[in-house]
Amino acid sequence: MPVVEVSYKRLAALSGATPEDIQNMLPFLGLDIESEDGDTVRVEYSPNRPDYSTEWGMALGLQGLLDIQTGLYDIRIRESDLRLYADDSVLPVRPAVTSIAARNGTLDDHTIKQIISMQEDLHSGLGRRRRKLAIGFHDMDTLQFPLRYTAVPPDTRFVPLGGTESMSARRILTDTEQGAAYGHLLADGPVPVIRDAQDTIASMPPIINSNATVVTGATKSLVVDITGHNRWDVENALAVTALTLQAAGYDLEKVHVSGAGNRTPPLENTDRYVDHDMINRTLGLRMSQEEAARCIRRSRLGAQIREGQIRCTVPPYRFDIMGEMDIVEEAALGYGIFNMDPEPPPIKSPGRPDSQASHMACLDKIMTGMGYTQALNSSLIGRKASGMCNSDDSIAVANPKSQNHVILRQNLLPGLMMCLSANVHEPYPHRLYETGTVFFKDGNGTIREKMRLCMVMAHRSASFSEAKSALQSLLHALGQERIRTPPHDTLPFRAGHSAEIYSKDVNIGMIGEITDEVCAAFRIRKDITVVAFEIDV
Amino acid sequence: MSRVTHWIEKRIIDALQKQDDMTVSEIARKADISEDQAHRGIQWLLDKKRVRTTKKAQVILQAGPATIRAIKLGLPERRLLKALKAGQDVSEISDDLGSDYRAALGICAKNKWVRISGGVLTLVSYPDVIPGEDMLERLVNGIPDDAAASDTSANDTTHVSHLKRRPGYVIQKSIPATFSLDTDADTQSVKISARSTAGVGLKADFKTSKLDVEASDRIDVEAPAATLQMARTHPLAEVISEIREAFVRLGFEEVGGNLVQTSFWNFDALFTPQDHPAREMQDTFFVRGATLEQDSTAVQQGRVARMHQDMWRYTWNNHISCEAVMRTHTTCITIRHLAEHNPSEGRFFSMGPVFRNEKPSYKHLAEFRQIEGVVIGQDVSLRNLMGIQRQFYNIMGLKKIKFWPTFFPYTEPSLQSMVYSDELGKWVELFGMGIFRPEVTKPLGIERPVLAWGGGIERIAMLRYLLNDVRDFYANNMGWLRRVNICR
Repeated sequence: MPVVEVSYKRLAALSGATPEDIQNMLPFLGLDIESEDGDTVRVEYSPNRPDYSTEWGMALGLQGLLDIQTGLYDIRIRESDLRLYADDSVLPVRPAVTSIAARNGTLDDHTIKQIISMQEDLHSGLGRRRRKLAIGFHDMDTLQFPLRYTAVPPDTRFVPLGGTESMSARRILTDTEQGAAYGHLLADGPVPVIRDAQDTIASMPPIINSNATVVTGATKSLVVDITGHNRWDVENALAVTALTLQAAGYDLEKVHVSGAGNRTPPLENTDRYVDHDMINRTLGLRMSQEEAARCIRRSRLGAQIREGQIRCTVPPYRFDIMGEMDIVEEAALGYGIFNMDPEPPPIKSPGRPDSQASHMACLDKIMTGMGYTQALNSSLIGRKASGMCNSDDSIAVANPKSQNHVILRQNLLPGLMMCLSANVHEPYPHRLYETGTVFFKDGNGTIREKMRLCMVMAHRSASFSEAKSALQSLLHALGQERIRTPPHDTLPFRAGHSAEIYSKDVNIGMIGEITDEVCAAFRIRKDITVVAFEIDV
Repeated sequence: MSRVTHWIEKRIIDALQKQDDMTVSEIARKADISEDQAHRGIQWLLDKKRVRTTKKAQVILQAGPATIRAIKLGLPERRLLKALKAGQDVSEISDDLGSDYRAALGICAKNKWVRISGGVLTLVSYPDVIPGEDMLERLVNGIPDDAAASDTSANDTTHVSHLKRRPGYVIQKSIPATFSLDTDADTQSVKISARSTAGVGLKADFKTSKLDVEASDRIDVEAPAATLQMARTHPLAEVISEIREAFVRLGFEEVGGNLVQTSFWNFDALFTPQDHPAREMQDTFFVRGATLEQDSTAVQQGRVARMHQDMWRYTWNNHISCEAVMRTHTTCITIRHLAEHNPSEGRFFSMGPVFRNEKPSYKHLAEFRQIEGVVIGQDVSLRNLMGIQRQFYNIMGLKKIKFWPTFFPYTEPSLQSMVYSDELGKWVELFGMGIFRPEVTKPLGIERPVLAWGGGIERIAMLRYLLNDVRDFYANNMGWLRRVNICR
């Protein structure tokens, strides 16, 4: 979940609420307070609410919940003759583009910090690390409209943002930090750029801006470009950007976009109708239509009663609202989760554990009764531990971050051996057991899962007979029929001291004494005997 | 000093009544106890003055092979001096003495009986007495070791210490102490029977039977006893059972399922777009080297595909939905159960291991256990969901709870619950919950609202056992497994 650092004082100034109210209400907007340091507070917000990535967005939410200002916060955009043309050369490269201009604002350090926080959030979340969208900010006074979005050969040169010398696009992709991080998003061949009427390159999305249009503290007006692969993503990101810039004090101006299937961003509100019965039913409340509408307005949406239904007006930056249920949630938030009284529904029928769980509980009783302590290990084990008794065709996971979670265990023994090995200082005898899932492949290469039980005994004279007697006693207690244990020599067991376990002519497991070499490998100076078999559920 | 007699003491006394002057080993054998027990018991009895030492433990020094040889041939230094006195050739002497030559030469030089100058060995004086020489014969019969005296009598040439420090001359033999009953003590009255059986029987009458307060076979009821290394179920398994019981009490039916799942049930069916970050190898374990059978119907796939395409605006790929993953939550089990059985109402829960591709830390595990509950019904509401949480937490002993809104991709509205831990003195985030989005339920043919919630079991267990490091549950520290208080 993304985190942003904001100031109580500024939130108070923007929203008109007291810092105490803000502190109390933030969690009920879905904003988690991660940590506080005096006036500074680190707030975690949900990835579906990029409008909460700045103080301005949070202030709007706080105003609603605290009844300072409710209803829609409209984005107002002035008409203009600013234009951006995309040509078809971008179609195979990065086809979608949109833009907006913002005039007469001031960029102090704090404003810049907030805007960058929003940009980074849009890049990493909605933008899937710039793949789906990338945002560029430019000093409007350095650019001559109309702008053009076009693909150019990779030897095209310009000075990248923060650079001093002109470089080819190709070199920027390999030699700059941004190029190294995002170059993989562009294929070999032409690269997309935005250039102005005088052919000054403004940016090479999604990699880097040009130094020519750099935004500084003295910048008065901004031009925003957003590029990506489809219209919805870039327009959604533009809506959040427009909201943020307007709330930051800018006057928004339309940029007419055309070409390569692009359009001038409408940034329009949409109307959705919701039935207030459905809100009541879903939340378990009994609100009147007007009350429900008021709750929705407290979540900063428009809401009017129209023909027996509630007409909700959703601003373009609230693209997280996909359907009716999202409006229901807005109503719940506007009602105040703190106002909702939990009400358990009546229990209509008895519950029950599943048969496997009941069987396991039975095994637990027998095993502890026989003096075995239960261990719990991971289903994923390390390659080293697995080497002990997994066959060669083990199943692995891709790119594990931990060396101890690589192989899907075929056997419970490695985990228990590690456990014995980690406890050599504990008084002996050690008797442990584990029940759990093991994995193997069938003839078609399909993954199968089975429940197994494994018990290990380690002490001065752990023997095959002790193991077999434990196995027999357990099966007897379970009321199972007799088993056979024909001899079977296999590692890691001592030859002549191990057997397969057969029940009804089916091989269900192994029993045997571990070889001295294996014991030594696990640094255990005691005899170890093992029983491992499939649990019939 | 305890007046009571331990059963070990009783056995020893019994043994010593039959035979005096026994060593610890002999007593252990006679009393049928271990030597260790015999040692301890005798020490107790000595402290109580009920047993006395008849012969102290001592060490006897005896002649070693070198002494036997010296008795026959003389000490090597005496032989060297004799030969020199006789004017024998040095090389001849050295051949004669063999390996003893160097030692003999060293002793003679140290005592200034000989002098070596310019490679020539000459006799300086011929001593009458060589230290230790007198002791040789006496060692044959053995002499008690008087270790304390050996330092002070370094100049006493008759002292055995001169031989003791030379290899092969002296063999030390330990003679253990022997013990007898102290005849002054009243040991005769000790009865060996561990328990008096008098008065116990069909006709025993507690009113008339007498309490023998003068009984001499009292035991020390205050003495500490050994702790048993008992066998136990795993502390985390205890919490799992407790949670299971709570769910069953609340009318929930358990459903199980595999740990390896197709991406379809783990992600697609839960409205998670195929390019969602959670579906990257960074976060999820994708299984390599084996496959799963397609476990969704063509109708389910088609409807899910359409929903993804309409709402997320991309082309859904059936191939991606077949990829096998280690399940990242138990929601794949509950949603599939609902899709396959389509109950009009009911309460179900599922619990078990879930996986995230993470490097384990004190806070996070790559494999942990989750509990998940769902309620389906015509009239179920968010307040019902909150109510069930409160019931569950109350059963688990967590009385103070609150709810905050949050976001989950497949529920709307979504809440998270916080519980107050008295021990930690703070609020702790526990289960997440919500109502399944229609975008999840509709394509699977689930018509009624579904309340769903769940979370990590280890989190609750950490509160229970006051652990700070979640990895402790899987460290299998046997001391903890054997001794942790599981009945808090």
